[in-house]
Amino acid sequence: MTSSRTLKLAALGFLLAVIVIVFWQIETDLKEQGIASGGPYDNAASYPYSIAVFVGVLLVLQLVIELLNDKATPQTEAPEAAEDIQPSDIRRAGMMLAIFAVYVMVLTTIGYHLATAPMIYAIMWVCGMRNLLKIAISSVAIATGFAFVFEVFLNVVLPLGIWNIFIPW
Amino acid sequence: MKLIGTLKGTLLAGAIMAASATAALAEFPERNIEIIHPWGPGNAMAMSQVVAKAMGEELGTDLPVISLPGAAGTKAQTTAMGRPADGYTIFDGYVAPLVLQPILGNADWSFNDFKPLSAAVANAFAIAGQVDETRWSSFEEMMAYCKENRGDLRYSSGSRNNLPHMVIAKALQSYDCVAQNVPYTQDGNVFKDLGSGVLDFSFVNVGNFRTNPDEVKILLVLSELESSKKAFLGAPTIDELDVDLGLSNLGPMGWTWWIVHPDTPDDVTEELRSAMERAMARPEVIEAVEAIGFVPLSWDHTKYEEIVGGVDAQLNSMGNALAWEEEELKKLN
Amino acid sequence: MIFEFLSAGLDVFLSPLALGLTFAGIIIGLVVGAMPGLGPLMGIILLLPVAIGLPPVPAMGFLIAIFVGGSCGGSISAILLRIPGTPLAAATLFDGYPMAQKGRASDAIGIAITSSAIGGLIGGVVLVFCAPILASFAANFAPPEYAMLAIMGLFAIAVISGGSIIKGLLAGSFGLLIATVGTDSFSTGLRFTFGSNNLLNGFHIVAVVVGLFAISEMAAQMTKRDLLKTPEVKVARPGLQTIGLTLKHYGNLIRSSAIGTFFGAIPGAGGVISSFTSYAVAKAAAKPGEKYGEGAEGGIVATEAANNATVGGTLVPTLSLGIPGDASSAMLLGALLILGFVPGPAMFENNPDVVGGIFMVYLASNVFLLIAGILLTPVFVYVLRVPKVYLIPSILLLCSIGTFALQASVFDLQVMLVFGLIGILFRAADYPLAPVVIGMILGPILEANFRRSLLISRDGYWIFLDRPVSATLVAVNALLLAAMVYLTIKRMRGSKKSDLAKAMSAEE
Repeated sequence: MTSSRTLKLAALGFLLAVIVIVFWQIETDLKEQGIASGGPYDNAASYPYSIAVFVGVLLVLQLVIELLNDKATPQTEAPEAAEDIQPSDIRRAGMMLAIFAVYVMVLTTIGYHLATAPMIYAIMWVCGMRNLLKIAISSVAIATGFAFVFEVFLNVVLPLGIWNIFIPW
Repeated sequence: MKLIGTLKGTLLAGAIMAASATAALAEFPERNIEIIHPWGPGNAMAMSQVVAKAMGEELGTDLPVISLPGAAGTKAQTTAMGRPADGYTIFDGYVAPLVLQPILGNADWSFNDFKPLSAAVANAFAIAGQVDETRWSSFEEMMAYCKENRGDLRYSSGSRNNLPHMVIAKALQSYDCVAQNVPYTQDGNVFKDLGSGVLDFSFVNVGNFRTNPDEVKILLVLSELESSKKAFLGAPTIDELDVDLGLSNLGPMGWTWWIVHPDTPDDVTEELRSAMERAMARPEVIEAVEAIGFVPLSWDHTKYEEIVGGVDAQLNSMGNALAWEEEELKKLN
Repeated sequence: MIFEFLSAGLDVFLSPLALGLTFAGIIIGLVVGAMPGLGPLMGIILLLPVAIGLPPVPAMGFLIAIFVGGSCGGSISAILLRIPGTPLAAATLFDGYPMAQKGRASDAIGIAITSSAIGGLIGGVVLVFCAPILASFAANFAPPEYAMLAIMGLFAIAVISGGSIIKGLLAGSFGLLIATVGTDSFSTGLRFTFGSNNLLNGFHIVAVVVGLFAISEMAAQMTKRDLLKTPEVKVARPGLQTIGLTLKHYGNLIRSSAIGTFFGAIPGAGGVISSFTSYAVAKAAAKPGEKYGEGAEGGIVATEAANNATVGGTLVPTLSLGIPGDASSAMLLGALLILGFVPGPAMFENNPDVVGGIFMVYLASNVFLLIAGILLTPVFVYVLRVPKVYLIPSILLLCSIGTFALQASVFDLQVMLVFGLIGILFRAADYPLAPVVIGMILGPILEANFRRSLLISRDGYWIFLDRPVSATLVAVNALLLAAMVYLTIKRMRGSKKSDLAKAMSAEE
């Protein structure tokens, strides 16, 4: 219950941060460019400003509703939706995101062909697969298969990396 | 634990590197060459794809056209400049990012910072009005009306501060006409709103004109070239006005030269140049270009300085038309 | 006028590429629909980067077929696994699974596929007749009308879509704000770009949507404990006689398709509402002998005919007004924009071949659905047995290459990842994701037409009331606003969730 409440507040906080950025940028960057005033031809700020104000009002309403709901439904009504997700389950998802983030970061440097198979390998490992040979074969097969389809049929130039690695199909 | 995987990865990497090492000995090009196009999909991109396809056949590889719209084409230009100077990236050098934006102070490059491959295509613009217009029957009459009713007319040049806007603003300034430009991001809607009487006049290119020639009346062709006059079915051109806009040749038109990074090796540049020249000379390319409403250009790289430099000088000398329009509109509000 | 479009479209449609991709789209749609967690929207999102490299009609055929196949595929896993592959099939479960338990799994799948195809075709007839009429009615719509229509689309999705209205509006407004990033076409100034060259044209919608939906879904899948398991599914091959079984319910078929088409055409309603409504109507109209909820054929007919007819209905406002009805059609609209076509009356005028081609591929995809569904169901059942340990990395890779391929940009991949995290937060805090997409699509339409209206107007805001159609839309929007306030207060008092609401909140 507490964790779901934290999440709800986190979402509200995130949206609050978004509108704060909108107001801050209008006050600084947009004003400097001279596009924060004037009529509809020149004023690029009034539309995002109005939406941000609207979001602000909704945020206050939502906060009130959530506080009221917390009072109205004390712990008696068991949260039916919390399908007993364990910390270890969350950790798996977190690991996947971390691996994927590293992949995205190194992709430009080391190139698609060096980065992809290890990424898939690691995610399969996190999923709980332990047959190393099977993981290795499938990760290379998936990586190469996708590269083939995109490079040959769709003419995409996948990231080459600093060593200019590509497969001349 | 991950040993086998690492091993496998190393082996694979080794194999690929070996493969690419052998490939490196082969002739340019050994892989796809990307064309960075500064606009979203539409006639202009279809145009570039026609040229790219023919050029790809000449080079024996594929030339995918990548659309990177944004900030009047400067996003594409900046992105392309950040790519390695190895000839695997070609810029579709439209007049807006290449010449106009530097003049407006929105970009810090100059057209002679790049190596030209060859001229590609040009596109003529015209000013169109409503078919059942009763207030005037010619461009000059419209200008007279506009002078009487300052700020009353509404027109569209597509985007704000683009080449048609600059040319139209220059024409309006010559007649002391102040009208409000209404930006439209999609050509189709400009046409519709012109037809339904929301706009008084608008810029139109040959491609859009050909789709619905009966729904607008061409008031003025923004070019003095005979080919442009013909494309707009003989409508009057800027040459027939009693004022001189100081625009000639490619000056008032949209056009593109394909260019590469200045550090591109000479042999690679030569390879690309000759492939592009051969592609542009193909009859089916010329036919396809004309069918879309563009004019194929046949200048090779030696004419780049002269032609593009001429446009640069013309646009430079009329850069104040946009500022004038803004000032006058502000006074009215 | 209608046959003009169809004949113009026929030429583009009758190419091996268009036919082949439409068929491929049906297969992919059935597969993504059948796989729990994915669905037609995810299928469209994942394959959009592939489609935008193609000519317009084959590309749209591919995506629309995924939409059609995906709207039906969910029934396969609902019937066999008791897990609706998509929320669209949640109501199929009520009778489909009991039928399977009685040993009639193949009949149930056959009925589901046949009803889907027939429902889709009826929706298609409505599309072909109504879209051109609506488009010609809208031919004189100018910026004020479009601005009001965009507001209506945003309000409608918040009112109709079941969950919390405030959360829906917050998510939609977030989409509107994301869409403002980049170069402002009116002032030519830069908004919220933080000096980055990559943001000059804003966020690429595909990068955002892939992150919001696909990356967050994969993270959600990772929390489950069946990653290595091969689901146990028995192969069921439906026979041709199931077509006859379905046709016996002709009354139900026509009624349910009508309900589906109607809800599809209303912005914001979508397939889940139409399938639940049509199920409820069918149950109420049932003969005494039919036992709904215990394996009645009519139950499957009602839900499946309705949810596929919705696809046809939702394409009507999407194509003729450029206002999408739900997130899937918003992505189809996005694809058309990326391909260089602006849905709306102008497209009907200038590109009749593309409009007609879209009509043709939609009709054809429903025919293909019947053929592929009856012949290839054992193949889809086999796909259900692929363990997630292979699916998750493959889908992640498809997301990355697809997003990269859009603009050959690693920045787009980073955008995708960040929006993946935002998607996870929104899901965890129970915010709907579909309004974000609708907001991103409608945002530029709303802002540009609003400002354009004011520039055209000679007397300020009165332009919205001076024009009759625009004034009507202003009134409709005021009514929707009142409905939102009323429903929010009402829902705060009694907050019991119905089956429909549960399925709606699981829609992403």
